[in-house]
Amino acid sequence: MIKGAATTDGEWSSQLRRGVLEMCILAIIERGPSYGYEIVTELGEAPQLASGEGTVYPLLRRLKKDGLVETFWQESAAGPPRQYYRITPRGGGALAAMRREWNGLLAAMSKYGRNGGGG
Amino acid sequence: MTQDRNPLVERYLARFRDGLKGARSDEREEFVREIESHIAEGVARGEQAGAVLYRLGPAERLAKAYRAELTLRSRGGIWVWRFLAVLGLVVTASIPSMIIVPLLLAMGLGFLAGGVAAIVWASIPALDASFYGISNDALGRFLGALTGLGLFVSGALLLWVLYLYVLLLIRAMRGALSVGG
Repeated sequence: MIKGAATTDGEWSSQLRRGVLEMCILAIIERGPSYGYEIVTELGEAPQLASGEGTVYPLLRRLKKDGLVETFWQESAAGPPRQYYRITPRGGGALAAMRREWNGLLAAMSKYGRNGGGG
Repeated sequence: MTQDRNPLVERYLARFRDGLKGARSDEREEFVREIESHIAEGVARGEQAGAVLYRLGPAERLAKAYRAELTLRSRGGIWVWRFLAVLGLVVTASIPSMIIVPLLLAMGLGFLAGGVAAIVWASIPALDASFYGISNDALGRFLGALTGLGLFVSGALLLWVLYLYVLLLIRAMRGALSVGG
């Protein structure tokens, strides 16, 4: 999955990206209601996330099932009706917790993430 | 909804819908509607439908990803279904089992014991054995031993059938436990 990362275990990086992707999606929706195409396009600008469009939609569905986002349909002047995603208070709380975890992890990994780290 | 409907998109959506079998029908239609909206959005922005579909990936894989999320979310439902499946199996299997298992066990053990007894009896000259009306005779003893062997083999066969029946039950139980998983 990661180009040129032959030593990276595919499953591990896939799980890592999946968690990160959820956080990114919530962060995008936190700024304001967004629809799938818009979210997918923005995520596509960060190739490191390798967020295939076929990955983002099922994830959006799960965030909705978990009550972290809610949806509503709205007609658009230029295109087809769009399903918008809006963050819920629970989703806001989850995103804040994710950010805390992420920042804590980054601080810890600054030691281990480097080559020859851990000493 | 989509003005740019083309056969390629139609086939893609049909395969996607097919792949979502098992999902609630209202959910399935909402998933299809959203993917349809995504394709139409891309086309409205000047993209080729084929290019949008390519980025979405194969319809079957997309449906599989949705199903994976649904499975994660409906684990409770699956356990209820598994419990009902096992309960149904126990009820339907227990009635014949109440007859078949004791019958095969009793007959198998009885035949085995009878066979051993007949062979022992026929092979000890001190015992006044009488088989088929032939008393203390080599032919009588041979026939007695043969009968004993026959009984022993029959008992072993009955116990083998019982073993197979129990294996079948265990396999069916495992099958019921893995329903939906």
